[in-house]
Amino acid sequence: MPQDISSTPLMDMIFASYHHSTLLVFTRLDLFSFINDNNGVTVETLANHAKWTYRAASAMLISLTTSGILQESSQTCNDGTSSTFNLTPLGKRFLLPENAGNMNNFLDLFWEHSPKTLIEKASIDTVKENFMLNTGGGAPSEFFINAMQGQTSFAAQVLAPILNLESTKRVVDVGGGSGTLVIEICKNNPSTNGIIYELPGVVPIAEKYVKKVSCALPHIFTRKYNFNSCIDISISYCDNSFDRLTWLIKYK
Amino acid sequence: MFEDDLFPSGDCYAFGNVLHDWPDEVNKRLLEKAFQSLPTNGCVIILEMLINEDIGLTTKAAAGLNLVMVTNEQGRQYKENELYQMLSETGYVDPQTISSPLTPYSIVRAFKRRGA
Repeated sequence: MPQDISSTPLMDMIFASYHHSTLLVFTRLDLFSFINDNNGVTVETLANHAKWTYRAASAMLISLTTSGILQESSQTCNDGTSSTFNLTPLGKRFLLPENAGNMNNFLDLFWEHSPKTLIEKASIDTVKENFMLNTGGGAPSEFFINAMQGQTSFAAQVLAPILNLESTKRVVDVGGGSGTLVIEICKNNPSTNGIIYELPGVVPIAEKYVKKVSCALPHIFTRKYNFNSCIDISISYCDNSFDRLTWLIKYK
Repeated sequence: MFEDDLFPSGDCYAFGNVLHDWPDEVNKRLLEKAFQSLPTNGCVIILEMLINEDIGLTTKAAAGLNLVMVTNEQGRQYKENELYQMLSETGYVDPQTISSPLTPYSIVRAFKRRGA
């Protein structure tokens, strides 16, 4: 038996599911907002708020601290030293508004996931259902679209500016969901128009996201394209400053 | 996107977290439909988390999302060369990958050129 192989990475992997579960619990119970609103929590304040034992609250705080989501600071009080846990910059991602990459909805998709699910779905005998289409009775649900928007929006914000699509006239976001990708492309290329091409049931959800990036003229042109539907959008910068953005939505 | 013979007119078709939902045969049909819908010099862009050619260098996020496709959808995450191959077989040329260290996502882009 080799003596120079550490068992730590293996142990880390084995317990990863518990850290994942802790993350899911904190997002579902909106505890990151609670931590932020109270400028940090102690074991006691968390336990009292969540109606947990001190042992459980402590264990979960330690879990999220080792995962880089929380950081611990010590405070000296009259009755001794206590630890306060607050959000790291990474942890603050869970506080972002939904149009800026909030991951909470995406995380909640995995609430029911278990090893049992994995082994069941891996089987060649299992009929492969499409989870996305089952969430809304045949079309993706608003919950699913919101989840995917949160998961994808940061990537779209990072990659759209380096795509060099200045000469592109019209981008069609096929199965675009909330339209997060084409919205970012249009924001970075004022002369480019966009189309969100989606199932009719998804279009009203996408319209909400497009309206959020409009300011003065929330006109969104929605049309039927044979079976599916399209939202035509055109977003122009009035002011190219990232500190003060002004949007115009034109309709075609 | 399956029912219409062609896509709405555009000079760029974007597939963001779409191809990983469906089997290869379906994705080839989607890319073919985009190709037929494109004008010359138009492009397709594919936003996905990629499996690294050296699998050991794949991000945990991409490997994890690949498992999610097993439980939730009918597709998988792709390697860059698998997407390049699929694009080439459809008639696209000049594939390129755009990445950033700030996100595990990449964008693969390819073009429809004159004579295609």
